[in-house]
Amino acid sequence: MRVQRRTALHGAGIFLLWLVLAGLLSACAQDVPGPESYKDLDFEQPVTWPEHDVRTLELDNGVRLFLLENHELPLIDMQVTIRSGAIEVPKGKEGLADVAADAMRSGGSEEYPGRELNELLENRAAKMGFSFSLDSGSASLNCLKKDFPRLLPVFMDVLQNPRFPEGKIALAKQQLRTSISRRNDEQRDIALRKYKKLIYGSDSVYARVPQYKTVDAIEREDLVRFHDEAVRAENLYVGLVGDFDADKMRDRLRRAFSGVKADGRNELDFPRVDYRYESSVHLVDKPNVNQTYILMGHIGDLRRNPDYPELQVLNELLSGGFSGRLFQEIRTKRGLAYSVFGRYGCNVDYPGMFFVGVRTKSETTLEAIRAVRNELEAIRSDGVAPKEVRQAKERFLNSLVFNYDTPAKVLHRRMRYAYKGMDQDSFKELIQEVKGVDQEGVERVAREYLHPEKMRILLVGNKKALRDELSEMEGEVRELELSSGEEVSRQSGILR
Amino acid sequence: MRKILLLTCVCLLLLGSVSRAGEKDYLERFEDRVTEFRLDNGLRFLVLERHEAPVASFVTFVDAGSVNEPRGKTGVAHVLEHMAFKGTPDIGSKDWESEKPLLEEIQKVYTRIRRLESASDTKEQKLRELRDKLAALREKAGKYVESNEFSRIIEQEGGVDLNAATSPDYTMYQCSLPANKAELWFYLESRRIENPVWREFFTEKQVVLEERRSRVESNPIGRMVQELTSMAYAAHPYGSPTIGWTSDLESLGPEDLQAFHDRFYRPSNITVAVAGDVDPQHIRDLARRYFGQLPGEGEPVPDHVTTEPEQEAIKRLKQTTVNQPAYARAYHSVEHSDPDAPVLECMARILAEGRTSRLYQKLVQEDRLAAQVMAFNGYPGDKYPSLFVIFAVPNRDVGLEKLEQGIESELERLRDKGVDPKELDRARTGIRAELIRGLDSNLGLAKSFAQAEAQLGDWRRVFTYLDRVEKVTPEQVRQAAETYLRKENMTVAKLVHEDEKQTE
Repeated sequence: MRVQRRTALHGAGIFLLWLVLAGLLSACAQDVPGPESYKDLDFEQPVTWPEHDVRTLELDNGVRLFLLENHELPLIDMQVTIRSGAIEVPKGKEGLADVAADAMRSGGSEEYPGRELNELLENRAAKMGFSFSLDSGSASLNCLKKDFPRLLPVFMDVLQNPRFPEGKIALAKQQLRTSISRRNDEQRDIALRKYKKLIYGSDSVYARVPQYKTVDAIEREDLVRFHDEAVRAENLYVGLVGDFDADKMRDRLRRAFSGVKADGRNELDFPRVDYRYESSVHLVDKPNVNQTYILMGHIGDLRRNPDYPELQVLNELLSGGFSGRLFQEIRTKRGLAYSVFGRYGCNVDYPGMFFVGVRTKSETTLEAIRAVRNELEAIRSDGVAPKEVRQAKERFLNSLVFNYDTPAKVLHRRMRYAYKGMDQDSFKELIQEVKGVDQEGVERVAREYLHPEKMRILLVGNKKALRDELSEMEGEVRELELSSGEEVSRQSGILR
Repeated sequence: MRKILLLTCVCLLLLGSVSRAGEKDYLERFEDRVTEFRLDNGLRFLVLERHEAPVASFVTFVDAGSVNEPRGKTGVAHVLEHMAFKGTPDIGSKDWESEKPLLEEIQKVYTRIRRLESASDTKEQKLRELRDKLAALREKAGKYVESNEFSRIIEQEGGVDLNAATSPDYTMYQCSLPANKAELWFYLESRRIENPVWREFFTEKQVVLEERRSRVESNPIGRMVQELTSMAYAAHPYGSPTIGWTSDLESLGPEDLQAFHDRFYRPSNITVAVAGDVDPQHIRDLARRYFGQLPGEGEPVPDHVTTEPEQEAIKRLKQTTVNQPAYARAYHSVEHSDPDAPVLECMARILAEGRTSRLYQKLVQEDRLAAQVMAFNGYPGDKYPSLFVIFAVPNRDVGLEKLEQGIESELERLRDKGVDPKELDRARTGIRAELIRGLDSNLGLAKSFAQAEAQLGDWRRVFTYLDRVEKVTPEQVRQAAETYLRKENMTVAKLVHEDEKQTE
């Protein structure tokens, strides 16, 4: 803790304070003045948190169980992570994973078809859901403890034997088409989608999105196959947190999950990313807005990079909370934006992205870009102050308790590490490593990993209002066309 | 541990469909963990013990929001909320003795600029000089600023959830800290509530204008909702956007913040809630030491807030956009304390909450007109008579008229035939479960307790609301549909794609 007892007087104040804390002087507490500066506050010893004992078990068929009791409320939350994801979807069928998740829930199983399933759940205020991200699937059930025995078999049946009725598939496809038609409504949606294409390549599995024709191409048999490959025992990581007895729950789950079909471990294939550092500027025209959504950056790296701890401190220093340099410079000092954010991303299986995002009025677009670039260049050329590094580390280390303040967070972190094949103590190791990060290390990774001179810049904004700004831009501005459902790219020299 | 078990028991009672009388029991036991006290200056405190983890959340609830803004000053409550992060004389300044006179000078110059701007014979030359002077002063004052020191201290000590929110009804500040740092929060919060400094004000106004662009001007749904709200309210200040009208924001000066602060940031208007791993006695001592000196003289005369006159005819609004269409309708309804409030919440759930709800089944699943449909009561606030809103997103290639007819025929069925007791039971179960699911978060508890205490006079209202929900009958729901969902009481907003201008 940063405690400075500057004078004897303050020392006495703290003694009095201690008496008050001990309850001895509470009657005259109002007479005790507070300290003159927050720096004189003493925080007893640092907090420690209880170790939560996650019970784990691997069933014969390969299903892995993770159990953590929490008796505060009479609820049970079950999350099943499935080794699958949109990355498994064949080219030309983009959207399949979303349609599958949707139709699983809305169609239900033979025994519990959609409408009955909905009533069964909602009469009990229970929630069941399915979803797929790029690199994982999720099935969940959240309900009152008393309803769990009734609902577990229902969940198991829908998870293993979805009916996939044609009507619900058609509905899910229609909803997906609607969402495609609406994905160019908000600048944010456009920017995030397009930026991935700029970094990973427009055909990359990490950047692809459904189009009308890929949705049209999705057939029931695709869903059946996708589901069958995903819901296999070796692919399931079952986590429960809530009001139960772990021994009894383990037995109950063993019975429920030992019948899940085995022999089908899904190996997810994460293709390499070929990235070339270059500077470029891209524009998506969005009439009727008066702000530009700016994203600028380049490729990031992998979680297993040995410099990961230094990069985390760099992230904190650049864009942590209200204290980071970008917030300070772009928002507080210059008033250029309400929203400014960024991070150097490191994924486990494929490279993350480094990006800084700013939303600023059309007229200050160029100023914002330059200000961000200056900050990134300054951190490389001028380095960082030891105090800044200390503060960034303290922000990270002092808030660690919030990673452990609910059993659910502990359980889900543990499951995520297991799913990704990482050591269960990875987070503890990271804490130790961050403690050792120093000024030199942060400066080194800033120089090595940030390339402000070779950034890909994406602007989603009002082309007409941006005309002056764009004409001052160095280099060519390439315009990206938007048409819902089909996207083509063409170069445009008009703006120069 | 004992308390955890108790909580479990009472929750079972609360949720058990058999023992609905259990709420009282539940409350009694919950009271073991809540300590309330009021300082001599009128500031109220709630301490909720939750020892699950060594952390605590802190909420300061100021019972004033954008409805309390004077005419021509919309947005001032929210700008003040931003400025509350700028620190105090001793936090955020490198040298207060030098900074202070500059801030005073800035305020004077700005007042002169405002005077000149509103004069009939604007003297351009003089105005330019003053603006240059203002810019020079701002730059000079900026040299004494230790930017974001307030937030930096909290974050460096491990603080998270650091944020604030302004609504039409209230302004709320929040943060969570390791529990051993409670005193740090008391030190910082008491100072900024008592003595905020309007430093970096003109830059922060730019930030707020950017926030406005993001939320409203560059967001078609945001624009639509703003138009809907301001059209629905002819007189009540709920019709003004909390973020403020642009010209009001542009003209705001530091003295406007000071006036709002002096009037509403007084102890008798503030409730603090602390939830987490804390000792109530310790918190009481800290409260007295740090907040005890806030001057509490004189109760302000309560604001008169214009009553919205009864609407006489349907209001319709159509906006064209390059984006996809959307549909909303709003009916004038009631404030939270009105007996009909729980009836309307049940009605909203029966209409559009979950997959068993009427509008979802009919419009989304059966007729496939909508991708999404929502219904809720209590917009834009719930301290004063509010709006009951239905919002729908049509599927691709579905016209808004067809969607509107679909909604209308469901409402007609509701008015004519009422609801099934089973549907009502489901709605009630949902409301109870939502409450329970919210009980495991320090921050959530602190917020809802502070709000109930400040606005309804008692944190227990969080739970006794369930009694009110329990008493709702199917006939009341039907009656409420008849009373409120009338076309003379309705404002409709349509967001139409520009290509459909002719057909719509």
